[in-house]
Amino acid sequence: MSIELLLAAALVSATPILYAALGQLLIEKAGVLNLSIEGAMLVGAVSGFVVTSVSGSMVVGLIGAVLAGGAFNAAFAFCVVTLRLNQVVTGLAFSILGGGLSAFIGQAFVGKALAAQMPDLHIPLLADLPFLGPVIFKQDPLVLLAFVLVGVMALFLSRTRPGLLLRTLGESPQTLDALGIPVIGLRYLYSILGGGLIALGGAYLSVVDTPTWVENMTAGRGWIALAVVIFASWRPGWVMVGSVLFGLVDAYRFRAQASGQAFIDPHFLNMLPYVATLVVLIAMSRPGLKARLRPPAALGLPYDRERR
Amino acid sequence: MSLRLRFEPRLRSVGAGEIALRIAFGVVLALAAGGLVIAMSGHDPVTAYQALFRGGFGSRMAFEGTLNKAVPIGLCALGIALASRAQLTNIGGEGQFYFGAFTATAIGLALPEATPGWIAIPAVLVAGIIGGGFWALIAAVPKALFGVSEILSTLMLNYICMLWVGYLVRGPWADPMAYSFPYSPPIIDNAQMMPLFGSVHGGLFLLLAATLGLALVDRGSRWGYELRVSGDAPEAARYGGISATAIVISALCFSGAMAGLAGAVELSTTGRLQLGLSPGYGFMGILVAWLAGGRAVPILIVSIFYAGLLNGGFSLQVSRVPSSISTILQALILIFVLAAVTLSQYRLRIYRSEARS
Repeated sequence: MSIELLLAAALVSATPILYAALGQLLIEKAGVLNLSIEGAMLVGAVSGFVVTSVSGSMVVGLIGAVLAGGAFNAAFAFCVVTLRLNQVVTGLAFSILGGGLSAFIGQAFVGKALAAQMPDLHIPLLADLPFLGPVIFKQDPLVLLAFVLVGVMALFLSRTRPGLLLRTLGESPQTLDALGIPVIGLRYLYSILGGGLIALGGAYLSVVDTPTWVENMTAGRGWIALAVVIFASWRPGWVMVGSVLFGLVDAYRFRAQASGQAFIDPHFLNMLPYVATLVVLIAMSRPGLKARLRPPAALGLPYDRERR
Repeated sequence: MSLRLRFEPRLRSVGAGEIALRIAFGVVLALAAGGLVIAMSGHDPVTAYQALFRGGFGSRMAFEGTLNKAVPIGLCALGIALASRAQLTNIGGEGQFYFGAFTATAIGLALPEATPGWIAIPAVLVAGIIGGGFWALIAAVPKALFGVSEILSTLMLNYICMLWVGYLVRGPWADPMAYSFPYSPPIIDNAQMMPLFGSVHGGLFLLLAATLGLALVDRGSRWGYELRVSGDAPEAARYGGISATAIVISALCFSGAMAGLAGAVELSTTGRLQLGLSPGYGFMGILVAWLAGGRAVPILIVSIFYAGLLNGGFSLQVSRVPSSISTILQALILIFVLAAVTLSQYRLRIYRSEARS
């Protein structure tokens, strides 16, 4: 097995996690603890598949998934931002709701195939580069877009005024409120945008990668994306690193299973993202690292102007 | 002129009767929303709800099945409520359930075949309690020592444990006689709990005992008092000589122990370790604990209700309505009831303000 093919497969495995984790990052940077991610990803997967198969167009399908994810998270935001319901239990309920809804909607589509297939990019010159060509530039466009998005989001957060406002939203919403910037409105905005990205991650699985619909097809990838964001301690660059590491493990596991030889049982490989996240959770509680790695200060706290 | 909606806190507190009314209102709204989903899929909501009810409560057999399913849901919910006394959010019930089932299996497989039932069954159940408690301890120690969020650590531990069980039943513990099904071999016969009346097994008594136990912890125990003080006023607790470390560890471990007991009960009644042992009991427990406001007796009632929804969902397949409607309802009921109860602490006011010229 060539190293290029392994890396190329790793990037494909990393892509749905990366979209979902970037969406999760936006939502959590805004101060909303989002445990509904697995549900939103499934909603995205099912709506992407259904819309693609009805419309016959992948682009329409992916847009449909993004809209469905945005709508799903708008409902979640209504519950936790406007009504200020407990974010942990409401998030889990939405996760269960998304799983149930996707199974319900998708039932008629189980086992169907999509007519179209996403063509791989073939960027002139770049695709012919040795090594990098097959790994990066001969993928479908959504893989490339995910990695471009990492850079965009890193620049957005660190270099732009709206990015600064977003970071403040998760650290100290009362500061924004005092500046006359609508805290509630911005939390809705980022919940919806994030929901769209999470759903795109789900739709990538059902429309581009597999492409089929199977009940509960994300198989916990939403939780992995959630883990990756913590692992990355809410930094886009590290979100990419975490997603690619997951992709490498996933690609290796798949190869090892196919060839029947593995150094280590795949179940233990699958534990790695969760174990790594536990280690990071403990590390970020240590005094020396706390300042750099801690979560947004207002994460999980509903904003109530009258009780701040 | 512009209209503005605002939620304002109510000045008087809301009575228990009105809260009950709001809960009923939330359930009705959830059923209406679920009905809309069913109708949009081209099925008749009334027929579907009738089938759901029949499958959960409509016959003696259905009700017995519901009671059996209420046991793991209720035990997990009681554990979650216990942790919530100390303001701890344990969302690791699913992992603690499976780790309890794993330790219970280990004992159930290791005991000699001739072990009498009065030793074997308690041994398996105690193994589950210890296993569930141990799995919660992994989250409790970092919480107690370094303040690591138990919300995130218990969530991560869920998936680690499910993978561990998956490894066991496909690897070292795979039953060679079960063809390629991922099952462990059956535990010894005497460790398997048999139905006591109808198809209802002894787990129901464990649930009743655990409910009573939580009520007693709340009513008169020193520990229950310390949990609440430590949760609500950590400074006062410290000043009063209550060890925060001991509270965090004991609360989370007992919480996990309840879920572990649920895992052991399910293992002991089905006989084999497998990944289908829980259709999400640990997560349902969270919904149930919240719906019941964390109180012991309401948890018992709500867990029977949720078990009925789950049980009814299985029989829906016959009427060709997807059984996932049961899952949807479980989530919708929580969301609508939580919203209705929260709104009862607020009032909606509409402001009309003239646009400034």
